[in-house]
Amino acid sequence: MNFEFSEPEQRFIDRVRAFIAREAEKNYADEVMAPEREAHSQLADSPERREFCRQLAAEGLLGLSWPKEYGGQELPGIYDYFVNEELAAVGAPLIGKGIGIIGQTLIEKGTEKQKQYFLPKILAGEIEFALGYTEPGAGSDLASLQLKAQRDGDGFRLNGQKTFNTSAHFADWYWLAARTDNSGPSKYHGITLFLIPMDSKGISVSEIETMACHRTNEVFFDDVRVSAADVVGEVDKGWELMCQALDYERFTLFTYSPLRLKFDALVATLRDWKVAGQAALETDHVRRKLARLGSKLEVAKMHQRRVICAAAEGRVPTVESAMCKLYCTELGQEICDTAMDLLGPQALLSEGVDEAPLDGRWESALRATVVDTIGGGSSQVQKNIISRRHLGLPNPN
Amino acid sequence: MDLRFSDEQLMLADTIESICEQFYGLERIRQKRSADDSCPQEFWQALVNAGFSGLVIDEEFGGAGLGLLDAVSVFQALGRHLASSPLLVSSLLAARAIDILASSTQRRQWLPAIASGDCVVSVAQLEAGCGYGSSSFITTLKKGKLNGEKILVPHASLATHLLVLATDEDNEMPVCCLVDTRQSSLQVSPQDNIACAEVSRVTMVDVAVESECIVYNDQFWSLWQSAMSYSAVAAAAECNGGAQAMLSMTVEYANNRIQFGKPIGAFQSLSHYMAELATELEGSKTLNHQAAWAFDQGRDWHLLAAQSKLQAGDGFRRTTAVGTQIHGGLGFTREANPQLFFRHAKLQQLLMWDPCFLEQHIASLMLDTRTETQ
Ligand SMILES: Cc1cc2nc3c(=O)[nH]c(=O)nc-3n(C[C@H](O)[C@H](O)[C@H](O)COP(=O)(O)OP(=O)(O)OC[C@H]3O[C@@H](n4cnc5c(N)ncnc54)[C@H](O)[C@@H]3O)c2cc1C
Repeated sequence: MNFEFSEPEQRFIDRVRAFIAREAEKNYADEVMAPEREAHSQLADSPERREFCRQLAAEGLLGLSWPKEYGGQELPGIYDYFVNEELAAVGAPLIGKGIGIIGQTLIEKGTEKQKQYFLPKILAGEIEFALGYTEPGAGSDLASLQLKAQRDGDGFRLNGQKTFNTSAHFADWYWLAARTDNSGPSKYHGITLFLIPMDSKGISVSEIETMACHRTNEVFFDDVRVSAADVVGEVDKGWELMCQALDYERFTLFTYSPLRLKFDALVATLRDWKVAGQAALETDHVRRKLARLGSKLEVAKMHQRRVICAAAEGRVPTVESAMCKLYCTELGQEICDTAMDLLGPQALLSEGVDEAPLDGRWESALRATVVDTIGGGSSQVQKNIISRRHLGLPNPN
Repeated sequence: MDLRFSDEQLMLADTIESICEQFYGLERIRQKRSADDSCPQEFWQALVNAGFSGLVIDEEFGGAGLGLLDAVSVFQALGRHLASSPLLVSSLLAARAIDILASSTQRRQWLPAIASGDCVVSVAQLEAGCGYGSSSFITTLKKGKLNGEKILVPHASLATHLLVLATDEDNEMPVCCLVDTRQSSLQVSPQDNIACAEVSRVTMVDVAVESECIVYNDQFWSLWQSAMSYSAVAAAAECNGGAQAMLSMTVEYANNRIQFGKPIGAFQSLSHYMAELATELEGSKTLNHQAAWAFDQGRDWHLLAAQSKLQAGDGFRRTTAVGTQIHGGLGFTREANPQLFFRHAKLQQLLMWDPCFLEQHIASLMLDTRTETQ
């Protein structure tokens, strides 16, 4: 047994850290490295974020796992995860869905033309995508999606609605799953993936406000005309591609380091905090709570290590990722909640209020982390995966 | 990074499995009705014959000189069978304490005897009204005589000696003494308890201690805590093994028991509990392995050890509480195994450092000395 990263892995992680340290010196660091603003730096439509992504590209940190012929470095997928962990540790934008979900799928199933057009742009960090999966009637049960794509000459005509499509209000391209056939033997048949310009005629985007600073969108399709060349992979056979991409998303997108950041920030806040006149860190119940959280944090790290290890062995870490996502996201919420309980009523105060501890970080984090156990496969969905794939329990249906 | 046990470690566990199956199966444990029912002599003898009593004792003292991670593999397997023996208290705790606290003469005298199984040393630490955190013992050592009363002393009937923690009247400092169990001034009486585990009250009235059997050390308490940390890693492995066995048993039951026309494991209110338990267990096992690995590698390990015992104890407890529930009425009965795991889980959670002590201990390691936890 060995809990250390291999030498090449450690060298690589050090290289990413060095890159981040250089970027942290730049003027835009406040905007692109803002862990206290949760997903902001990652999701904002800001010139700073775009510039940071270009810097990531210039440093050669995008497309690490891609084949060399497409400008990649043929490193194991886990290297993408290493980059994300380090980026998340400073609250910087992650490498994003272009590299993982979209790039990986295009490399495997895209047409020559799609590869030639998209891959270089993704590698250069020059292109923004929105992910169009969820619909009002299809959330966890994604395969029941019904956005209609009807044959129309050599192309298709799209009608219907998507919901919760983050970035749709500024993305350049839209990675979209639609229903091309409803008569198949199961709901998994008849789904087709499209890659279309976000500004296609007939698409309208409207904001969905959330309880955090996390904007997302509803998207309406009114006779949107797309060509056969916009199809990714085979017509009616999109589901398999989506599943592969989701597996990858689960293990590269959910990072452990934000938990560590939050915990350290909490301890730091409490070092100067008083409870009934007594130093908080000398108060028994505070110490006990922190001991418990600190121990769970170490368990969370173990789950992350299990994902890394499974991936390094060349397996798709489905079960490990499900456990890691479940444990880490639930713990993230618990840390925020405990932080507010320990700090008391003052923790209710928001950013900009003088008396707010850590400038309102905790109340905003409590709101922002709610989505973590819902998106990317809810906690319940992860438990279904673990029940069936790890424990061999029967399917509930 | 590689999180798998080595082939040798897996073989150690296999050997334990077969010894347990042969000498100390769950059926035998189910028959235990009171605290004076010790583990079978043949079981202990089999462990000794296979060399486990010297597993982690240095080769220079006749042991196998293996690491803590090797011991973890062994204790996980023992935990799966709920097979308690003097191994933890004698070959890990007492041996480790002697190794780091005692003089070289004492080490040469005791460690080979423990390794060979000639001596079985139990530990008398706890006293009524004072838990693991207290270093001032009511039991005193005065002019070569021990007086006092200890509780929850494990496996006293198989023990040839006791390592007794006491307050040295001369300087009010903690010391420990090795005393022979077979003397009339030392009385052992079994204490009935939640799991019918073999634990006893030890009453000492003017127990004579020879001077070469007294262990003095300037840093007695911190080194003693270190020996406890070491054993806590093995105790945590035992908890994880128990939790693993309980979870497998529960999953199997949930796959087979039919109600409302389907296996009850198809009900998410049950399967989701089990998924949570599995997630906690895998995390807890890896944390336990990391603690042992860190010790073997000479890295910071005390915090990890304490965190591991806290998580493993809690996990075992929760797994047995939920697992018993999932077994329905059957889980409540003597004839079935869930109740055994249920009762042992609480025992193992509270012994070898209980959650309340662990919280304080972890807090001070984490918050007062800035230990690296990255
Ligand atoms: C801020 C935000 C950003 C998002 N961004 C995107 C995006 O960019 N692109 C995109 O396509 N989607 C996006 N999503 C959608 C997200 O993936 C879905 O919200 C998620 O898949 C859950 O679907 P739902 O909201 O319809 O909830 P539902 O699926 O209706 O779930 C409701 C509840 O039922 C539970 N549940 C559902 N099925 C089961 C089951 N089989 N067993 C037990 N419990 C079950 C769930 O766990 C949940 O608690 C985003 C969502 C949010 C909130």
